Amino acid sequence: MKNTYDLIVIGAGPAGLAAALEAVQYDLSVVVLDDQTGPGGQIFRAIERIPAVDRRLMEKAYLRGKVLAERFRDSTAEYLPGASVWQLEPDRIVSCSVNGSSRQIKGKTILIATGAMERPVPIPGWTLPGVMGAAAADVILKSSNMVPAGRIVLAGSGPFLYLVAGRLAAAGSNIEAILDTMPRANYLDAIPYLPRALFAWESLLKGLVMFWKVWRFKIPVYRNAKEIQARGRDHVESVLVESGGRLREIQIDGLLLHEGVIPNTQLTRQIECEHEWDPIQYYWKPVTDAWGFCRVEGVAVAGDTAGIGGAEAAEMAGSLVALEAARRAGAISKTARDLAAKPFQKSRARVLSVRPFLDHLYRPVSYVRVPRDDTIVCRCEEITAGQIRDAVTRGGVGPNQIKSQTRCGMGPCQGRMCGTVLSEIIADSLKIRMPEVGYYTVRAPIKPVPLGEVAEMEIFH
Amino acid sequence: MFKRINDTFTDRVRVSVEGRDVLVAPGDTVVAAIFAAGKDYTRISSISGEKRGPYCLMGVCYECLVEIDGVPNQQACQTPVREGMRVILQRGLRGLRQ
Amino acid sequence: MNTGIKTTDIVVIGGGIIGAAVAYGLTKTGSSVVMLDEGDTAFRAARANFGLVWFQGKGLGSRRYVEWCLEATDKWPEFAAELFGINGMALFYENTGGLRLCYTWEDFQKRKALIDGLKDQNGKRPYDCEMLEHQLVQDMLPGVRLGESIVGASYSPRDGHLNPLCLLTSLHDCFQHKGGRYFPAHAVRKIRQVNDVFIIETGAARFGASKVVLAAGTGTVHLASMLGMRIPIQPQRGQILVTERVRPTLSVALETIRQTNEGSFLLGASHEEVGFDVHTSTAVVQKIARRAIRAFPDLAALKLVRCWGALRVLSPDEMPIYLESEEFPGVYVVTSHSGVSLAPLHACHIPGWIVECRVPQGFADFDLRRFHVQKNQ
Repeated sequence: MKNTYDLIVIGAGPAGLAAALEAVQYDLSVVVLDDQTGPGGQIFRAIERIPAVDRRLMEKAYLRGKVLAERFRDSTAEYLPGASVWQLEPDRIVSCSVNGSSRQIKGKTILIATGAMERPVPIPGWTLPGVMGAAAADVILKSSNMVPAGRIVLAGSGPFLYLVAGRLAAAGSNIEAILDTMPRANYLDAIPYLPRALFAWESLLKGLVMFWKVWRFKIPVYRNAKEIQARGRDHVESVLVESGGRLREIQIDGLLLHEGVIPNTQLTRQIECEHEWDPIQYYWKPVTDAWGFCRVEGVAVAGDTAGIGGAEAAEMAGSLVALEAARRAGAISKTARDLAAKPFQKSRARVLSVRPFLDHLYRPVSYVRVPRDDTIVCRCEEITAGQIRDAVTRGGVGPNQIKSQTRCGMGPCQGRMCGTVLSEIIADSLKIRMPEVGYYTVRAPIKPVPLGEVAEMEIFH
Repeated sequence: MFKRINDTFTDRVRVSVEGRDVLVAPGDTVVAAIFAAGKDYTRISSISGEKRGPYCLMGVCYECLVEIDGVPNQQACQTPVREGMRVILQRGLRGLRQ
Repeated sequence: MNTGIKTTDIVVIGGGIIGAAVAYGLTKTGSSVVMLDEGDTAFRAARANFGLVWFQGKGLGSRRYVEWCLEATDKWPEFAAELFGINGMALFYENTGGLRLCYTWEDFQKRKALIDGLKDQNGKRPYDCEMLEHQLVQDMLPGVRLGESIVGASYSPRDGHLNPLCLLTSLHDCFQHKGGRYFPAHAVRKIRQVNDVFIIETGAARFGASKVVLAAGTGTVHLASMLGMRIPIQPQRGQILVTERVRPTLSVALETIRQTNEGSFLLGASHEEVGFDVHTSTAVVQKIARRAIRAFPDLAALKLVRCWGALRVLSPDEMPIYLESEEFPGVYVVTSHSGVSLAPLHACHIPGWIVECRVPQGFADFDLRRFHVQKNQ
């Protein structure tokens, strides 16, 4: 392993892998830092381990990941699995921890391709064991062939909810019900974007197939679901829901929540990219130019970290970053870069034409974005929405002040789970807009790192 | 809370969870071993004393903190299993020396 | 925009630990008080405070300052109880005693010379601080293994620590509880005097008061300049490291290492002249980590979870500056880098001076004339 590279890629999902593959075409020195043990990111999780016989559980799109991973392994790009990146400095020095020791490497260009996280869904009782994100069930199905035991309910909205329900049912899980929180009015809001979405008709078709698979298993769907609460003592035992004017309590052994995915902006925040608030899908995303570069010199963002767009768009975006990285390294001219970029740009635009439709259709509901007083917002420090509102009343006008006063955001997850909700509660309480409220100041280390490693690390010079 | 659906993943790795031996596959994370041992929680909160279990399984929520081979507060979902690994649930705060 | 003027007896500009302590103390005098503060991302030395209630080592060259510090540490238990009595918020104040480690013999001799100098300066009155060699220091710390290379430390039973975030929150809460009005996100743009009233303009509102207290940390320089005063304070960056939480182990507060009430170890500190830059730097973070591990090798296994940098507010001799403007009587400057340690005095003597003109004995030592004397020499 070297000390400097033309391109350092953080994240081995579709954006990162595509960027690495494109960059080596121009003889750039590339290393991909991955906190997982094998490439694929979350969407292609465990793609190298899934044996042929299990493919019937998975869709074609997932298998695309196998092709990418194979080509990546065959390429000259270096791969560092099990690498936990804990700091990125403005002169593009990355600090990462591998196998118990930390090191620093420098890149001419840095690509942050750390993907997305599931939007946290704070409902009363969500900290009970047995309540998890729907993506969690998907991850452990792919990586360990495990499914939740007992009676399972999925709650939330979005195609992924149905995708997971279908996968789990096909794998033998007992799915008692789906509680769909999408308000009916969203259909009307989304219709104007449908014509444009037809350019990405395969995405729409995939969605219809997902719903069909769920219908096939005859899973009951409760629509316009509201006031969802998890109940239980040491473990989730039931879920309450209001739907169709009726209040129901369903006895369960596991509850899977999903209200869309949001960019994982921990590293982009730490390096101080500018971020903007997406008012349709209610998430923060870094501000990037046409090539994916942010205001910090030489730092680019691609894939879902730059805004939710899916795996195909992520690949295109990664490739575009690689082209610009090649230009920065002097490997191609501006003209050659622009020419090579055209097919990627065209493909990406086409694939993304479905987004406005999906984004409007699956806008997350307000009660999970601005939860009621008794709901825990900061899971790590166990701070409720009510305590946050009290701090606002005492004069806390922003997330950093509220953090100081309540400890919200001071736990091990460093605000990943509570940050966006905290800002939304402040915006709602003070009746100001999210861009004015802002977000936590995020500092390194973005992942915990043993002091001894920091003490012994050789500082790059 | 989670059960294995088939034996596709061969090669069994022996891991001890709370003193009880379980067999898991190479490439599994520690959280799979914890599930295989029948546990649905990974820690006891040092704040409320409540049982807490994993939420995201992708390294974001930091709920799945357990003690692995004497080192406390490791994310079970991010740690691959190794033969002979000893996993203990994280009960409250760690000590300075383990 | 609101064009009316909000009138009050006193405006305190600055919502940090000093501003909030002074403002709280002023509410007890029966005056109406407004506290103005900046927004969410202001510099705020208060948010980065290490949390020490510290007496030892300060004030060589000023016996008055030593007495001031001593009085403050003596008053702390009573002050903590007073705030707790109002709102039930724990400050986690503990008079644990304090150690300042010496990493080399040279360091030990230097520290001893300082402490001896302070003892001499104190004359007949005892100065409560002793030098201890390695084994005696280890004996004080049964739960932790002291690094072999640590030569010794200076120890004072008067020192201790608290949770500075709780202190700030509590002061704000008590201030409002006593009828004080707090205006966050109201950075002051202009101060001027019209007849006998000071008009203070923020972007969002205007305030009129007969007295103004400038307690805005590094911001005091600019505010004071609007009224013809040059306050010689400079920002100095300190970086702090926080570890994961641990069962209570370290029972004494050290000048650069302490265990918080939640269980985290706080590790400091650096002293950097970098202007207004509050970023952390890997080199300094590493240096702090190394020194902490030299002191307590077992810290190496703990995970670092957070680092931050913040600006201390330093005068040239590191002593407070308390003064009333000569050109604009009624404008007061209150600045110090020991906001936590001195809080009990900022909440009683300073309000007494401002409202009732009760000037504490020897108070003149804290105004600007001491710098002019130095300049002329």
